[in-house]
Amino acid sequence: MGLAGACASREPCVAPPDVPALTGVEGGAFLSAEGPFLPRGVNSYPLLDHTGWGRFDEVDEIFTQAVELGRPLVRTGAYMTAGTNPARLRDADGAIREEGLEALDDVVARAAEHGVQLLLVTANHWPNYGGAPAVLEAVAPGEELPVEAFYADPRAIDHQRAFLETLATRVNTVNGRAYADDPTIVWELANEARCTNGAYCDDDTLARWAQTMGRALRDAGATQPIAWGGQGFLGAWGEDLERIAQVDEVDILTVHLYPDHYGAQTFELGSGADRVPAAIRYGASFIHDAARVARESDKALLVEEAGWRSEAATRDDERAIVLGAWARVAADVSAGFLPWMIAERDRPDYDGYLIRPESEPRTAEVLRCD
Amino acid sequence: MRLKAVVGLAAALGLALVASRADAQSLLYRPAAPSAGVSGFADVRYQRVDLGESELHAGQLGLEVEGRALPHPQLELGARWGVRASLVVLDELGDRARMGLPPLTVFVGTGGRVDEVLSLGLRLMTGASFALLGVDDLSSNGEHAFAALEGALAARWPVVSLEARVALGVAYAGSTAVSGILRAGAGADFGETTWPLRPYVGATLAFATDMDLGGELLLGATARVDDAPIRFGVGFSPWLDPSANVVRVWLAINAPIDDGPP
Repeated sequence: MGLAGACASREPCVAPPDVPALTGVEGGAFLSAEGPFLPRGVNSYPLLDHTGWGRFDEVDEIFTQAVELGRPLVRTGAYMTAGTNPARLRDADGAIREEGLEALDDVVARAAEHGVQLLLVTANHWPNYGGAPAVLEAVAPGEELPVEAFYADPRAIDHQRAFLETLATRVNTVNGRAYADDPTIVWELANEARCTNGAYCDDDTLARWAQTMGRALRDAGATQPIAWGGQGFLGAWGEDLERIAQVDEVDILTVHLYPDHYGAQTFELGSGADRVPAAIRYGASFIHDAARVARESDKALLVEEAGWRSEAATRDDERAIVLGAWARVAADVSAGFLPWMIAERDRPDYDGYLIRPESEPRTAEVLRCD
Repeated sequence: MRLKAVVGLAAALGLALVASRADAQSLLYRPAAPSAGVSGFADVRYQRVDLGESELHAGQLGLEVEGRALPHPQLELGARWGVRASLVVLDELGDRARMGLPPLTVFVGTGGRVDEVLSLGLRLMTGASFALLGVDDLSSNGEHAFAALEGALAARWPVVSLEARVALGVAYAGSTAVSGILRAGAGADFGETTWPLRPYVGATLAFATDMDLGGELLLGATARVDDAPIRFGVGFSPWLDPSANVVRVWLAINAPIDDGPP
């Protein structure tokens, strides 16, 4: 019984805006060669995966989509560990693989050819593509360390520092550019870091880790901005954005918005009231809280993941409004906005958040124009 | 504690209804078991989210019917269902209209009159929507399922009736979206019970694990038409409610189908 909404009552936006590349952060503002600006981007995690299996058309397709949406900052993973993909950057024993690095070279070079900038996520709290658990198994085989040890165990810290040094000192074998000052690259420390295990975590564990890893990148010569990568919690799950904001080596604070993942967005029991207004309100409040922290610490802010699921016929209308609302709030507080996510056209929607511009025209227009 | 059937279970559970979603169904009526009754509920709400340079406006209309039976003085069985419509508008960005079914709720309760003044009620409720079955298009886009335990206490004096209620529940909205919800409320009817219209004032405070605190002030009246109580009123959220509610207008009508043996 979903009813399609009325058409947007404004002129359709057919040409995406011209978006410069992010070159730095100063005084909490994102900078390009032309001055302060707001980054526009989108998430797409399978780029390295596709490259490993030789699916270069899919990589090109994703970059083309990003450019057509006017969102040329693409956030993607650069931490693949273990498994069988030829593009894995580290084996199960932690050894860095040149073949994997060459695959990453290819992703970075293709991005540059498309006019796309990459926000490279260099670690993942979760086990997808290996993530922190795989690194812990590599540095402490058989010890079955909890994931929080990734942020506190000296072996894991040393290993990750060495990995970042390898990346930052690398010269791209495809286009000859040094990773350390390649304008295609923006660095990110870790996706959704959490630290709640009392044996490994205190209030400052994640901030100390961020400082260590940020310093590793800078010491290796990296000149590009460095983003945090966390969800933006103010004390939940061991992440305190205010403490992260005190880390000099972090230029960009981050927020992830998935209210339909955290709870039911209701105070009522059984009313069935539409969750959309409450979800938008939640996201707006979350962004404002993070923006306050960013403002007070002269950091920039990226709403670097934002998603809304719906299986109803009103999915396109609903996503357009939810993502559009959050994008407006983000712009209002000078934060960049990167919805989750785009991929190749025939990719299954594994998590319910995949945006297909060709079948969600209203959402695509909002992402292109707002 | 002696439980009497005369003004008993259903009345107390009418109070327990106050702890449920419409928050206004503190309907006092006088069935004797075994008996049955039906209630109708309507609520219209306006929600607003300030997005800085733009605003989100939303309106929702909910209509529900509840049927209940009291096969025993201390046992109530019932079910409730309805339909909800929602319209969300974001400035010139467009709108989204949607209509669907809220969770089908079933409940079992007990309680009754403690003495001439006090009544107690306890109700266990659960419900599921079509979204739980993956049929999102039939859902009103609310929670997929929920379960709750409600307790209510009422005290009646000649010129004022007081009620208090508390509900603890959990709501599920798919995947890992689970919320714990605690609701507490109180209200009062003023005036002689013989009056055709009695003013009502109430307040509800709620805590949800994903949204922190919310609340509502309620102003309305309880009428009695042919011995069937009708309550209507307006609810205001005194601060920016995380659920975005600004104002809500509600109506609850209760009618016995069978008052039981004389």
